[in-house]
Amino acid sequence: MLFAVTCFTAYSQPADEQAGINPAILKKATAIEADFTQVRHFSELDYDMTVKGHMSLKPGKELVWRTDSPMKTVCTMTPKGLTLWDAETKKTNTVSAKGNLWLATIFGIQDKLLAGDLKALEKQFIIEWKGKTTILLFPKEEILAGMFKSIQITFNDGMDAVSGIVFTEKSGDTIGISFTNVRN
Amino acid sequence: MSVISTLLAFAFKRRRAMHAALLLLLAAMLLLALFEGSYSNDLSQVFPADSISGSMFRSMQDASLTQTVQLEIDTGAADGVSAADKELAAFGERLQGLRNVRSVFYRVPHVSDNVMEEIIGTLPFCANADCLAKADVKLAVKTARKMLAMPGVPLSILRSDPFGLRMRQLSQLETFRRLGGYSGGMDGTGFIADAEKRRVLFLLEADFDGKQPNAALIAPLFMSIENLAKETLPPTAAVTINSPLTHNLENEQTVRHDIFHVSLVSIVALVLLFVVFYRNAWGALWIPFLPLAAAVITAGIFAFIFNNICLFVIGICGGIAGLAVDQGIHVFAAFSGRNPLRRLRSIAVPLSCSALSSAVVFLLVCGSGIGAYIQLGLFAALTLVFNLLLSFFVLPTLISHGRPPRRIFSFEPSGGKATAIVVVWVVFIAASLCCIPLLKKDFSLNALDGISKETALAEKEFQNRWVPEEKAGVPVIISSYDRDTLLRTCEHLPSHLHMREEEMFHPAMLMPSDDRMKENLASWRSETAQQRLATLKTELSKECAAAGLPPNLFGKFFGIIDNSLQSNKFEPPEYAKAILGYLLHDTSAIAFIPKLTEADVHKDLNYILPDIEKFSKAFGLAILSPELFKAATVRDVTPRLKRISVMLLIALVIFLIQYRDIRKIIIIIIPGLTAMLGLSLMSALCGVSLNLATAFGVIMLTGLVLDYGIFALHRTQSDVDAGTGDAMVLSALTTVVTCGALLASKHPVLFHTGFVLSFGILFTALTALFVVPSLLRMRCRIGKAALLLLLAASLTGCMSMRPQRYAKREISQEMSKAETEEFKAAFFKPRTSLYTLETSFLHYDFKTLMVVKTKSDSLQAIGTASNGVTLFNIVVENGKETKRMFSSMIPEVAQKRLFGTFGEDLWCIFMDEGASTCKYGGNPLRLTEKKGRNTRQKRWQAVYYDWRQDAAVFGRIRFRNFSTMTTFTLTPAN
Repeated sequence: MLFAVTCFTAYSQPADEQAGINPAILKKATAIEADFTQVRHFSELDYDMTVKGHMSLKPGKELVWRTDSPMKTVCTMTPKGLTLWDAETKKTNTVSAKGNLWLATIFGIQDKLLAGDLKALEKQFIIEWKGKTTILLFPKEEILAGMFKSIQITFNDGMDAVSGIVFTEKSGDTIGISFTNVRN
Repeated sequence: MSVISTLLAFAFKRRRAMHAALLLLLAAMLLLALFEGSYSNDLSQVFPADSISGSMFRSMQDASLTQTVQLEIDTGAADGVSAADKELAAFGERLQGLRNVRSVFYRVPHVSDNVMEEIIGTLPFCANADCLAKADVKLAVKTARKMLAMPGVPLSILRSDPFGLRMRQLSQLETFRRLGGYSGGMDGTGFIADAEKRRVLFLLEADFDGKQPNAALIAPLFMSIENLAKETLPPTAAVTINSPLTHNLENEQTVRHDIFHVSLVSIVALVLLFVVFYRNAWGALWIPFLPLAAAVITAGIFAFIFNNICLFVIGICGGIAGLAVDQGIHVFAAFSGRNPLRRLRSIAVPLSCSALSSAVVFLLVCGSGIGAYIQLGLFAALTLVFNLLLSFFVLPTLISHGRPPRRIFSFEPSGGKATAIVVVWVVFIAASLCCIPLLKKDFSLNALDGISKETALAEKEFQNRWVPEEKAGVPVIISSYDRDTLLRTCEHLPSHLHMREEEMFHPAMLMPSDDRMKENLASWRSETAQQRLATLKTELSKECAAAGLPPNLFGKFFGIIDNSLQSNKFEPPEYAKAILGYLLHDTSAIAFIPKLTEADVHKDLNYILPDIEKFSKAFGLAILSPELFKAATVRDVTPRLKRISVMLLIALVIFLIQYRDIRKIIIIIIPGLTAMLGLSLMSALCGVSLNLATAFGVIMLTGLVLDYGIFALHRTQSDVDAGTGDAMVLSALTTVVTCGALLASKHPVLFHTGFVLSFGILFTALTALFVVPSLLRMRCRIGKAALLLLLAASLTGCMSMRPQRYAKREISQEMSKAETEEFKAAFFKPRTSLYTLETSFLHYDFKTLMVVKTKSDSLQAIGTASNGVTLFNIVVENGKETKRMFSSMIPEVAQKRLFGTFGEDLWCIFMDEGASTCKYGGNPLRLTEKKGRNTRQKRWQAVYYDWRQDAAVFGRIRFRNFSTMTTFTLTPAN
């Protein structure tokens, strides 16, 4: 119980800021690449906010999440921590995963979700098939259950790539991510 | 003597009436003891009423911490908790139904889905509105944009707290998790499980209907728990019980087991004594009955005087009364030969002297000021006096004059024999003196705990599994009469303990006191706070709109705050209720502080806890640190032991003055002194440490050994052979055999008491029977010289102070030199420091404030009284006093006697020269001890404790000048 409460500390923790680091890391990411459109729906406000960009994933090692509009940022997540470069401020924020359960969990599931690693996901979620190409994940662990009600993954027709993910938060807000130009 | 003869004649003449009156008295006292007396095993009476250790123990009792049970179920396999979910739940439910179980906590309460919002809802109650001052609108929007840029990161948490105001509460919870040592996982299983999800913890609170828990209550409870586990849990599951009650149970069981065996040995010894020595004389059977009768009379008086009598005091006094058979043995021996009345009269003085001296020693134990020991001293003293009266006046009327007892002791040393015995004795004394510095001290309560090694190991393993020692903090128990006072006390804990609030966790962080809550609410409802909230709301909307975010993105935060301000009643969130349920009770609360360092223990003990004790009557406070408790026990008990020892010495001097002749006094004290020194030899050889049990054992021994000296003197003086030698042998035999049987006992208190009494009496008896006649044979000159040498050596040996001990380090010579130089540069640098100076001379202590200004070649010390008046001003240059001024407030005799060499003494303490030896230890190396030249005039010792690297000062410096017999204790005053 206590973990569930204390793990969220990271949200409010000030990140270390290092100015002037150029995020050239995107070029190295080759394993899974795709363009994405992330639509956040604030149910209470009935408001949608769309973010577009490009992602690149080396499963188990690194996820690079670049947004092009409405803001230009590059977020790099690794098992060691998170780095966020903001084009507007030209500053990089870093958050270490050491002792930060929330961050470790987020990287862990994003990595598995984007790679569509069902075997690994089975340990953390109850999996339900919804049609032929869609699965619904219900968190088993309290830390994930505290954040999400469910996560829906949709695969492409060939079942060889993830075409979309919808996160449904406890508050009813949703985060829908759809992928195009997927390259494995 | 004529009075004694008259009384004896009267006793014989009116024997029937006397016996009848005595029987009536015994019956009345027995009834009084049985039906009027109130007995308990309350251990808090073992601690002095006004002591820190006593206050800590009582706070633990108030918090019912002494009746908690931690049950660990090991399922035997990783993730076994999930598999055994149903069985564990059933076990928990049935556990709650067991007799003597008040509550069971085992289910982790479900955390609300909206826990993050609930925390914000508590803000107006738990925090002052001042926290809004730092709210940064731009930073809030910037953070929101960053989170939006991350893949699939939920934003609801940020929306309900744009300014990170929740951070304070979350940090507090993190502190609780860290200091509470909750390293296991509580999530996923619904139980309090470890990280492997292999073991679960059930927390029980026992309730014995207000009775003190004893073995008869605890054993059935533990048995029923184990049976329930067998019935309910899978066969692979193993149950471990960890509880203070285990200590009660095992201590009681061990004591019972030991007492049974000791009693058996004693009975066998007495039967042998009866058959072999008394030749089946039935009258001898009265000897053990008289101490029993004396004890019954005392118990009756106690029932009348005391509201609460310690049961274990009665137990110990039973043993002491057993030792009082000596008086009966002497009377029986005297009364069994020719001219019985004459022989009896001849032992009246030594018998009275020995019994009364023992009684006085026991009465001195009352000077400890500790409830249990006051009862112990009084009980033993009264029993000895009653036994003396019964033995001398009643026993002769009960026995018929028959065959005299068998002669078993006769020793008349020849010249050669006497010399040989004295030489052996001198060697023995010398060896014993050499062993004094080797004595180990352990004044912790653990030294008196009779739990088995297996239990101690299991407890340690349990502790390591659930609360890793290196990470966990120290629980602090606060006790008071109501919840609100408890919470108010918790809020003041930082100032009480001189700590920052961020370093600790206390229940008032989750639920403030009424006053604090009202204050917080008022601050949020104030016009300023309301205006600030309104401004923040407007600015946030504008900033969000400008950043392309919904203008009302953070509306949730303002809505939650408004709702809280409208409701007047504070409802803690579920997580807070769960934690409070564990930490906050009606009359007690548990807080956590970081683990104490050595310096913390010193600070708490010397400044913080005494301050709290002095100023607060509304609450009790206990810091549950074993190191602190040990130090507090030593601090509380040592001055009391010192007081008793000084009183004992004074009493001995007064008692011995009546003998007027130094030769007689030497004869009386030789056996006892030999016994005390012999004990140090035996302790060093057997690895037995000096602890509370041995300390009080030595005090009891002092009372008993005088008898042998007095009777040894009587043997040399009396022209009547009253069988004193035989009686001494028999007395010693009964005591050594009975107390020696205690050496086989598992309980440390009994073992150590047995160790002191059996070896002590053995050495005393051997000295009284063989050494004293041998010394007398040698016309005393050598004996006197040997004794004076012995006294001088023992006095100087006992006066040395023990430096602080550190673990040995293997370091190179260069490193050692570098560390030593670094220390010297820090400590001996020129500076001005403020100290509290405590001056002790014999038993007289007083405190002053002293400023010490050190330069490279000079030192100045100015002492002031608490009202600021200058008491002294001393300047020392190159080791010689060049200025000396003392206020008339310090008497001239003290100026000359105590402060005669004060300047030189300070030079020895603070300057890097003048010592014949300097010892370094610790990591990094620091000064631990300095000694002067080992001559009588120049002998001094300075001992340095608790080095504080940051301030480059010692927490305490003790300096002893063996020439002036003065001890100075310096503690930094800032």
